[in-house]
Amino acid sequence: MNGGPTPVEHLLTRICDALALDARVGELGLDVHEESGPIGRRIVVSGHVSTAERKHAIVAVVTEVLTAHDDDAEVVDRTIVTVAGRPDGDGEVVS
Amino acid sequence: MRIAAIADVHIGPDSVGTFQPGLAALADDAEVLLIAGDLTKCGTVEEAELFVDELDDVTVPIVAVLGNHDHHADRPHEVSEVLRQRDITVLEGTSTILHLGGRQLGIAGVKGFGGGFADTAASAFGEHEMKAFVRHTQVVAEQLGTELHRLADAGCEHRVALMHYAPIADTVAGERREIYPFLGSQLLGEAVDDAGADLAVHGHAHSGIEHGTTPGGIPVRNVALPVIGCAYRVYVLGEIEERDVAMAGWDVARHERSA
Repeated sequence: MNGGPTPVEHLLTRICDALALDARVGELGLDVHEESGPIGRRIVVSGHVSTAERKHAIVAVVTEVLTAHDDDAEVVDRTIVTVAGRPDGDGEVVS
Repeated sequence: MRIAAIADVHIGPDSVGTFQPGLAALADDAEVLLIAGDLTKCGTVEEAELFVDELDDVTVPIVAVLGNHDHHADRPHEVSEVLRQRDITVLEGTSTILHLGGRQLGIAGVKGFGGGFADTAASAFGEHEMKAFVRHTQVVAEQLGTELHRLADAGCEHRVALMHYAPIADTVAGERREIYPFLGSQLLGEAVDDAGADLAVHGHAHSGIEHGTTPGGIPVRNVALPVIGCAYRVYVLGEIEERDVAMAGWDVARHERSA
């Protein structure tokens, strides 16, 4: 702190907030974590989103948060778009 | 009696036309559609209107509860009104009885709320805000129980508890344990066990699992879209009758094996 880089724990909280509150994404409960390796730091987002447009917006929203905190980590989107097709099978007998 | 159920479709302006194709043949699969909340992305009236447009081809009765996303714009009553204008029954601490093929299906619905499960559940203790949080769940759980009892008194052959938040921890398994208190409450499951039901349906836990059972043995199904991976899931309640067999296209041999 005191003018240094934002601790990653604080950064992850800001990113989760942005993904929930930014109308381009609007998804709660996405997993956001940091990975570090030989190629540098990465912020990785995973989970399910409802549309391809929301998936495409994730990198933009996270990059905006990182930029606001002078953080140049790479953003990696590993989310999956869920397609709502007709179910297979006959149905489940539950009672 | 064949029931279709879905939750967490999160319709927004960018998802027009994505849900409708999967619903086109619903009347061939089920007699009623239950929606366990989060039909919209941010709870706007515009999104609610887009959602009902997606249901254009659905001819069976539709019963819904709202979810937390449907409250985000602070306009839940207007969202509900849009649904009601499309003849969708919206439940919140209320119940309805449908007459399907000569049988009565009672549905009690609440959005529900959080608080957590078993020995890690929150208590109404301390700050006003904490007490308000827990008491809200206590109130809606009591409403759920009251309505399920009411449906039993009315003589419904089958009863379903419909909610957005989870009533047990089983079906949120796969989520991070740190967020369990925001995914549901044991109080909802206790209400279902106390009043009895054939089935409890919920959504909200996108990384959870479909199948669970209350401590009292009542089946619980998490029908969040990311969990079931399709437009709806079909559940069969009660004795399987010719009507159910015909709807599912079962042959007699398969029917006998699964019964």
